[in-house]
Amino acid sequence: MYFWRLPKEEQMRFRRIKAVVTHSWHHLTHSMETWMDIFWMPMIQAFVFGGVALFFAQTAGEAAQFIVLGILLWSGMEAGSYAIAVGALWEIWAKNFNNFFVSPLTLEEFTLGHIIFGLFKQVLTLGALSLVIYVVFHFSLFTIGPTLLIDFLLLMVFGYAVGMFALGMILWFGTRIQSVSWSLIYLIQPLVGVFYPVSILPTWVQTIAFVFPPTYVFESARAAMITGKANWDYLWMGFILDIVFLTGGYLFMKAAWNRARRLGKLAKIEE
Amino acid sequence: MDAPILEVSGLTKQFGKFTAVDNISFSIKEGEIVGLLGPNGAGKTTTTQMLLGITIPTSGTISYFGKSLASHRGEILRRINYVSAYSKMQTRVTVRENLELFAGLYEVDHWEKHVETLAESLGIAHKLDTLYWYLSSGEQARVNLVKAFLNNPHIILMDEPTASLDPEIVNVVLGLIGQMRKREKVAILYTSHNMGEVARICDRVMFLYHGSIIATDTPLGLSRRVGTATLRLTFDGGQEPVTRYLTNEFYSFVFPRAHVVEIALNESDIPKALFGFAKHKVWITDIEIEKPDLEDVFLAVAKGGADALSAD
Repeated sequence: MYFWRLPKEEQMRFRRIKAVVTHSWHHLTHSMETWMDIFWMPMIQAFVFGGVALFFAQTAGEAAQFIVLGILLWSGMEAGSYAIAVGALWEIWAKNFNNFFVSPLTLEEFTLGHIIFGLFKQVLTLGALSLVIYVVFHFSLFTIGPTLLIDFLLLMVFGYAVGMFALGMILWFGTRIQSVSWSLIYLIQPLVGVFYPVSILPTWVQTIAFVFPPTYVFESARAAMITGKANWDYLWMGFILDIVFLTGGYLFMKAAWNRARRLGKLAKIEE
Repeated sequence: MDAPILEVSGLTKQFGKFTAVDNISFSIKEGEIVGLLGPNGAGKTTTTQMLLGITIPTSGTISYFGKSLASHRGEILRRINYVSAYSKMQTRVTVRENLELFAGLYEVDHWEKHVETLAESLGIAHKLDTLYWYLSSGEQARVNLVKAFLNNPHIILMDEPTASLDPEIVNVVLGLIGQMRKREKVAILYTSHNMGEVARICDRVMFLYHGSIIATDTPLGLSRRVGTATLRLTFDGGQEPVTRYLTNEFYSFVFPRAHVVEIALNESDIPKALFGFAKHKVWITDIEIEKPDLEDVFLAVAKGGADALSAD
């Protein structure tokens, strides 16, 4: 049955999504390591790569800017990718996960709640990072122009697709594979040209790279930074592929969810 | 009583070739407290998981309030609740913040006041702003109970809710359950290994064994099905007339002391046996009767399987 045909009681409820978001906020306010995820780790990366970029700047200005741009955009996508799966893991580790799903909450509401809270964390991360990079390295994200917002949105959506896929893997294989929550996104980092143009990769790798939406976004962002013009064809392609990955990620997560309920694994996921 | 709140029909769960729950059917009415007993591996947990919708049955139907759980999940789960001694809450946030989450998930209005009242009655109001991580297991169990009553459920599935509680709090919890049943007509499916608790609060007990319900009865009725009562008599005079009478009547007996005899017999035969002693001029100075209880039922099934409760 399509969701818009479901009886009112079975449709998504804003109040339940809000409960998940508020719960995540309470969790954040008590968790030092989550603050580290938001600020500390991206800051370290920014300083390390920022320093490397400064060195390159003396020899090749463009390369330096590419690296700093890559750091900023990547941090947003990375935060999005583990908002969902790590959000679920916090509850699994606390043996609270099943309490969510013996209530009327649906998997979709749980996921949407974590996406909304992930967005909040991404804004915090990017805001702080942009400020520090501007102050320390004199690099402003706004040199990319108004398409910056589109770049972020496309990368975030891809991050959520990866997050759904990671949660699906945890539901499928159990917590023994929990490290995918924070590592899965790094599998594609070398491919999608975060810090360098995809053209420097071997041709066959480029073919694989252009399967992933972030490749188009990073290429377009670099073009916008250098020429002042975004590559709209690439942005449209990134959008279309985002829809494909988001749908695929959701379908896989849902299939893993149903399988876990069928095999009794959902009830045992906290063990 | 009215129509059942929960109706289960032909419920079966297979994991590969293993049948964890085998074609069970039962119903629970408004205000009824039903015990679900059985040894480890009998299928109690799998049954509860299916009743909560987190495990999908292989076959059979589960209906609450006349509606199928499969097609009305959200509507049903909003009106029921669950508590287990083994489930926890998020340790990183306070008790109040945890309960705020569940108030949101169950869409409870004016939850703050309700939480305060429930926490007060369970003696944990002073812990509401403490991180859940700092609570003792007994305090955690009480917070779990607050969560279970938070949405004023029509039925609560309770899986050993009093495990790790001290007797005084157990008494409070059982009292609260009794009040909720009386005031709100809440129905409860109660799983526990504490036979005393089950006998105290359950109207009916279902005994699950190897995935099947092998008996359903009142706690007293179930107890009467197993083993025998022990009649301990202190008598005047010698053992000879006692031995003669009991041997003639084919009773099983022993003399633990010179003037005490212990007789194993069916509970219904006790009046007849006492009358027989009077008839044979045996002077009884003291009578003690030990009746079988749910503990004996449990042990009998563990030892003899389903046949131990054959008189269903």
